[in-house]
Amino acid sequence: MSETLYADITGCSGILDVSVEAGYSMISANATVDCASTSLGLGDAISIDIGYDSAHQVVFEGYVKKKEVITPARMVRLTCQDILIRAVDFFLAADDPEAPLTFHSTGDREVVDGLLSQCGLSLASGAVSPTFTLGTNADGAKFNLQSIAEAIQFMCSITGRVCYADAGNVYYVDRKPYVDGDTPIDTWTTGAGGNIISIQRETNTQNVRNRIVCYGKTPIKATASAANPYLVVDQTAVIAHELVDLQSLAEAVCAVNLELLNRLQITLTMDLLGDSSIKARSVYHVSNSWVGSEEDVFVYKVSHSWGQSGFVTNVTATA
Amino acid sequence: MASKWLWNSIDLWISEEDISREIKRAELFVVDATTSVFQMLGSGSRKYSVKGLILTDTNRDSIEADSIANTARTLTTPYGSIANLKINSFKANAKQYAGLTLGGASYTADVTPLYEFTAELIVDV
Repeated sequence: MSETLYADITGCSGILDVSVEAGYSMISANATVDCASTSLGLGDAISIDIGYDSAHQVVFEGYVKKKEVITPARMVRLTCQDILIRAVDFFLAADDPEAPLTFHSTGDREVVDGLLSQCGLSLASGAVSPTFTLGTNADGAKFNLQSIAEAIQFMCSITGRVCYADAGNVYYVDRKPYVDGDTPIDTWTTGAGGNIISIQRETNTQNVRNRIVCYGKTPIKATASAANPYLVVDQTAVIAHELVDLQSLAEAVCAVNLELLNRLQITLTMDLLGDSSIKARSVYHVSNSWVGSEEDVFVYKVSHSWGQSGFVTNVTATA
Repeated sequence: MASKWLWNSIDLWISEEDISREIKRAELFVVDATTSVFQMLGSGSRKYSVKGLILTDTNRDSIEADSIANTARTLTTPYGSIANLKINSFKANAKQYAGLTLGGASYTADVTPLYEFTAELIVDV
């Protein structure tokens, strides 16, 4: 089989190497482009379309954050991040510390949307259920002296939801970092016609937590736990924040995070023949008898590497 | 028998010419597969490797100057001319000789230095 590599990047010519990385826990995807010349400068919009002549697609849309001119290689290196870089770079610092950004009795999706509006973004349409209501007391839910991204990641940590950008839209969804009744898009396999260049399957309990403790606004507190046959001793995670101001919210935070964290970690790390259609947060089936994998997996992190060594997609997936 | 070519207006007495072009492909190996996967990145420029004789230090230095100044010149051959060529590498070895007739003109070692040279020429627009 022989394919001809393809790359089309806004304002770039003589494209040498491209690397694009996106992941479940990364609020902003990033990309690096090495090229002979470019018309782009800092803050300019960039779109990266890579693959083969026969099959290619846009894998990244964002902004140029760093530009390096390198010699003797005589090339330009662009470092880029997707639109959620606005949330990373925007630091909440109220003019009056006594009057920070405050939400009263507001659902978590609306809080996230309100936070994003501070940096000129908004959520794409969609709903999440159940709603976690914040700011039910007189003080409300206050946000100050942190970046929008930090605030949103905290929201995600208490709700078990995830916020990410795709094709220029921002989403806040219920998406667990594992296969949850999903239908796989395709099968990755070895052998003739396969696409797996290397594969490693790992099980561990490093990040497993079978006991969750939540400390909210005094005197709110809650605990949830469950048995886990793989642990030699209970492993505890603590979520503590004044934004948790209802007993029912504290209990919901514990329940959501227990479901999220009380799982055996099964991680597959693979190099695949380059495939620009593979996105983070999607589900595939993996078939390889040597590592004992005949299972559906959730793409936790994906990295497309295109360049002088060919086009390879590296995937970290969870089963 | 060498034939007379021109590098811009400098006489070259060429005895050998090789033309090459590199094709860049990545070769990937799928686990347990029996055939490779090739990914075509692109092709390089045509390269001309020439070997022959040049006369006089002035001509040798002019060619060397073109190489270090990255100057594009036209190479005129008996079969046509090639424009926009640059010198990618150049090497000249002084030759001992008693007497020489090239293109109907006679030369002697005590008056005219003779160099055997090799050069790689590339098209760079």
